[in-house]
Amino acid sequence: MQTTLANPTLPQPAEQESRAEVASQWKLMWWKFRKHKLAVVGGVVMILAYIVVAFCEFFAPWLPDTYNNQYVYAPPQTLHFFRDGGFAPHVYGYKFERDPQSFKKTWTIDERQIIPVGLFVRGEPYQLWSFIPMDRRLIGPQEADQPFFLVGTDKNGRDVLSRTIFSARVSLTVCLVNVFLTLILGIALGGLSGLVGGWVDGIIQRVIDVLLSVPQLPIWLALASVVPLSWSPLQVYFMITIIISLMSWTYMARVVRGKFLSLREEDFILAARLDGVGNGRLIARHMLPSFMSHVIASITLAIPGMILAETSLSFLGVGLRPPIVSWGVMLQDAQKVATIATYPWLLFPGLAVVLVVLALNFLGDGLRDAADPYA
Amino acid sequence: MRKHIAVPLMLLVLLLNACSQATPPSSAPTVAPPAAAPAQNQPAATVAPVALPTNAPAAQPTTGTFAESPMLADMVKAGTLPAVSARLPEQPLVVQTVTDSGTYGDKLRFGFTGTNPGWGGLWFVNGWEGLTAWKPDFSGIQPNIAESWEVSADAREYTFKLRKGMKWSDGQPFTTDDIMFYIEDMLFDKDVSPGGPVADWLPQDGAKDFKATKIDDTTIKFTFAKPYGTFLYQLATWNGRNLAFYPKHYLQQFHIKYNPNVDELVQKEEGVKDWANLLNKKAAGMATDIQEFYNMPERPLLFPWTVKQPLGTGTTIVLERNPYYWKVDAKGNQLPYIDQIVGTSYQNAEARTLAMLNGDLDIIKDPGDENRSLYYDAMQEGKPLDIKQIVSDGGNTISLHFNRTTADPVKAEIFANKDFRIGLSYAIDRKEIIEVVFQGQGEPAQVAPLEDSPLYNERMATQYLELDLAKANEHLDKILPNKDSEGFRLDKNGKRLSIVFTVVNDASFATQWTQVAELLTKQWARVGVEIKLNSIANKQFDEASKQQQLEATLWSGEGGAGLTPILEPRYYVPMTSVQSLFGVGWFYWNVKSTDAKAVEPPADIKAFYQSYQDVVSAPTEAEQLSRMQALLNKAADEFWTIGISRPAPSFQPIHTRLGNFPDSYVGGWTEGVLKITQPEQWYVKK
Amino acid sequence: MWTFIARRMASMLFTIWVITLVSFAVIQLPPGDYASDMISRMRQNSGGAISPELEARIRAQYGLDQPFHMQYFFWMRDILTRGDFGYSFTYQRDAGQLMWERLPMSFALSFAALLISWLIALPFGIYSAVKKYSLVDYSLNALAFAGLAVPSFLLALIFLFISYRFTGRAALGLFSPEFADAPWSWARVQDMLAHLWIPTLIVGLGSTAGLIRTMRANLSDELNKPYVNTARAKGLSETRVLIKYPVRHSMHPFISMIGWLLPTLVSGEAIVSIVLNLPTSGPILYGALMAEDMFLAAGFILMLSVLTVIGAFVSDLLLAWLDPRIRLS
Repeated sequence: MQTTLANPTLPQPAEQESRAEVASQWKLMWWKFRKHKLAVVGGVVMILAYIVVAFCEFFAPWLPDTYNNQYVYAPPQTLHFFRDGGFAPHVYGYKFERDPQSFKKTWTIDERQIIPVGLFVRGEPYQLWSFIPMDRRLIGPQEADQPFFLVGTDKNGRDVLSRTIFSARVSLTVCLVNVFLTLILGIALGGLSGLVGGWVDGIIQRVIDVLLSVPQLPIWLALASVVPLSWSPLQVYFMITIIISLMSWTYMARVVRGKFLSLREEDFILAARLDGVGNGRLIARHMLPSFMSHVIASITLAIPGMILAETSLSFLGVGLRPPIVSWGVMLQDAQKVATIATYPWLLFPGLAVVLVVLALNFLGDGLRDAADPYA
Repeated sequence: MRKHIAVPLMLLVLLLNACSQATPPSSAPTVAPPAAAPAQNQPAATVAPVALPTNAPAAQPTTGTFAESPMLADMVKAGTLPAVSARLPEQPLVVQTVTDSGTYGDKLRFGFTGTNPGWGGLWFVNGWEGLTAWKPDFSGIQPNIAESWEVSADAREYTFKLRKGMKWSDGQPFTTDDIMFYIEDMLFDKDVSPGGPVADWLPQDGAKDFKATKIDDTTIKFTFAKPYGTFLYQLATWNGRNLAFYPKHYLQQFHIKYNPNVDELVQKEEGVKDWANLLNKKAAGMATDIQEFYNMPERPLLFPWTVKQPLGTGTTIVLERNPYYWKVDAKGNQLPYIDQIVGTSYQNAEARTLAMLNGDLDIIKDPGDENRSLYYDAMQEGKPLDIKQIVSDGGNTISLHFNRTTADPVKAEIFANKDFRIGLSYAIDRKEIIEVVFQGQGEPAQVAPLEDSPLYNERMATQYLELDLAKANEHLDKILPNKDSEGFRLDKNGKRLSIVFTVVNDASFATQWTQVAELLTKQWARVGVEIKLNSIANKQFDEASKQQQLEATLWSGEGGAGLTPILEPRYYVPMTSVQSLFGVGWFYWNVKSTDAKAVEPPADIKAFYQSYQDVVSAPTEAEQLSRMQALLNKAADEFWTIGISRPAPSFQPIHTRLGNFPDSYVGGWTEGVLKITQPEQWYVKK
Repeated sequence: MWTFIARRMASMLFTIWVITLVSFAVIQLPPGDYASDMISRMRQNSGGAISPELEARIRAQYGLDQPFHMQYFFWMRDILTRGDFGYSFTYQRDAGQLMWERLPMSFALSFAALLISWLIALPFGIYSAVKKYSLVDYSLNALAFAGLAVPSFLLALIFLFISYRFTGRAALGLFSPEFADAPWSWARVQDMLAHLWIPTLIVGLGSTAGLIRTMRANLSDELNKPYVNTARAKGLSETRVLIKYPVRHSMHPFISMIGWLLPTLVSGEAIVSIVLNLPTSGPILYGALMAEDMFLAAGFILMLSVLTVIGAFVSDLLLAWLDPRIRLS
């Protein structure tokens, strides 16, 4: 084929050569990334999400385990902005009556009980990052004890919004560990396998075969049941995370190996080899960049996959468990018919999952396009 | 108006002599018997031969006037089945039906979760028949398989009279030979029961000296080594299921004593190694899970329905009426009314809930408290649902345990200290738990017999009950005076005392436990006790229990109504049950478990257990009650477990087409859950 | 080509052997066994009336008194010599039989889900890659990702509830009640198809987004390669340019994935099946694992793994057939 003769590493002739020539590779990528509007939005969402994760205590109106026994399963309040013609954000208080037979609560809004809401209000004292004592919050009731539940409360009378925010801290950090491990293992072993070949390739391939063909369900269940009881739920989950990444690197490795195999035949690699480029440099400078896009696509899909896996594990009873707050734990309470029918606001963490998964996907999309040297 | 609201709470007084009180045949089962003074007036009556007027109503049908299901009538006509009068015993048991409008036919649609019909709840509908049975109002026992009985004055000898002409579901006669086969060839056979006779109806103390004697085909005498005053009750509960469960004519082919060539059968059978294995498997009960009879359509039973199509890998199990069932209604109609039971297996409780709401099912067990308003809403929307009331027999909603046999010696020492438990009890805001978890229903209480039980002990029910942080701290300061900078108490080594609170999170009866634990964790932190919550699956919990890894934990609160504290003493007497979690290692020691970490109890615990044996062996009920009262007083001193609240009535949804289901009944394990409602007299309305 | 197949066959056998070890070990990993589980259950209900001797007998009856390697040896011997997968403790039946009853259902569901996601993903993926950053590209992506983003059990549950709310019937099971345990017939197949689309859609949706994304990414890579420009320059029609090489090339990862889809689908299918009450192998495997029904669980794991290995083998063959560079290397 004549097309293979053209050396793809040569810069494409372009009009604005002057600017493009001096720009670094990362700058080029950024220019391209900007073109993908949704990706930019996704990126902004993720940056915001991680800022919130870092300052949960400040952003959440309540601490995750603060509860109020008079407001169990309280529905969401509506935030009103104006009163008596002036700007005065507030919510109304509410009370319940319990049906004597069905024990179902009927909530009535008391418009006379006005609960002023403010920004940077004082509330329950907390310790940011467990060592900076503070009591200011982004938003909350002016008087600290007033009910303020924008997304309603759960079975213990805890604020769903606050818990969703604190859940992000666990859900959004634990998945990073997994993805990082997956990436390292996948590229290292896949690359080794593809590049060296021979018996190394054989062994790695057999390991991958076995790991890929055994269904993960029994392995999760088995491992979840051997963890010592004295471990905290978070330790258990961290362990499961590592195990999942020990199993999921195989996909990445296969992809990487496949790419290596086909790249090995490419002329520019041959050229580099003939130039006396060593293996390490060959991988890092010549091969990796050429399939970076694929790697990024896989990672951005892997993070949401991990977030979803967490919720599924909770469903099967082997994931995180109370008192840990994570999206999976919160959705565990929501996976009941009674919830969907009676307390639909408990599905709110599901919205958070969808939002983050979408944002990550679009972000990944944009990154992929940006990393593509031909686009 | 729905009927169930109007039904008053029944008085639950269990009196043995209630058996001998003539009750008018017309009285509805929900009418409570007079609340007679329990102790004084029946010293002789209990041990005298029991006359059975309740079982011989004036309307006793005579031979030849029996009626049967059209389904069976067709078979009789076709000549494939003997006439109904030939199938019934001479004196069939007359069941008092809830209404007298029962009609034959149709099928009961039963929904259960999981792939095990028995554990899913089917055996509370069709799972065992005892020699005696609970009266439908739980006021005492009544004859069942046994027509009558005599008890010797020292409560060591029990003579039972069976029903003449009673038959297994395959038409073969049921006689004392069947019971003798179970006792001699299974229970006392060295190969079948290698560890000697062990059965839950047989007190371990002196079990080897138990003797059964066949007097004639319908009379059998049991002689116990020691007085056994609660035997008749045990026979009415789940524990009595084994006595009339093993058909000799069918099982003897698997016993080497009756079939020297049994090895040929062993060869043919999957998964068995020798004839004793084979017998156990076919018998389904001794060394196997009793539920396994649901897999064996060929096995004769004495139950209202027999297995027609096992569950297998499908999703439904079909049971069909037993043509030889030995109970009739007052008009002489052979029971059951319902021809078939179709059990549908659901993998997920939510799917079952939706099916029940839809009207696709007639009844389910454990509908789940959180679904209460769903059912009421659906009923209001016109779904074909009716909601009945279950009065709990439990002494409490929750029992809190601190395992005194836990592996950590420092903690074990703290847990053994009563001040520790008193302090924590004072620190519990029970009103808050009732409001948040139990939807405002029920009153604060410790784990103790209910007010209307003859065993009620006020001190036991009400001690250390109020929320009082000052008192809580006062008691805790006695053993854990030192605190760290964050206000948490230190143990004697100066380390922060951090207790792991292990809670089961996946049992159908335990949906609220994690929530209770979450609140307790918060409440106890107020008095400086750090609790680390760990919610796990039942299976892991069991493993942790065996390995003595449990520290703090919680379970249900059995032992409230009537005599149930004697029959179900797990929270009052150590060593009695795997749920005596306040010293679970002692239990494993007591049963000589091989795979658990057993802990030998100290002398005072052993003595406590021994005094419970004295309650069981008391020959008269008056004696049983007074001994148990004394024991409960001691239990109140010991304060083994901490309680939360009295259980409020729960709900039981049924399809509107299901008839003869009582508006209210006492539900609990002792009563056989649904069994006390007498499923054989349920019917499907046309 | 033949040496390639022979080499793959040899490594496949080795893999299967390791899998038998792994699947047996996984079952043995949790503490306790079926016997101890059963004894505990009996204890919970009958006040501990089980003698130590009886405990030992129960364990011996199930062959659980043997050491691990002997249990493994007997298990393997029976499978190899008699095709006997052992005995299911909970079902009291031959484990092999049980598997054959359930596996076809899983296959039907997984295959249908695969088909649906391919049918959706291929055209959408191609369209997205060609018309990048168009409104349709964005909305297709958003839609697909929304499907991916909702946890499958939640999706299934919400679907159930909606069907209950608006049709008065919850969409449960794979058959109508009258066909649930009926023998196979044309009517039963029709009944199944009428029920199958719901779980299929739910299981399929999860992987659809991933496929669209992979297709879009691969095709974008290919479309920008010089040979495409060359093809265009030579005056080929846009459709032909697209179909002839770039689409074919970007399908490589798809094909290498097919073989490996089964375990993922079964794990995903298990959760959806539990919620929707489907008689597939996922829930039965889950149940067997929870009950420590050793031979049934091990049998399932083994069967699924072996089928996956074979699937991978087939996909490798396909790949080799598609791309001569692989088979010649």
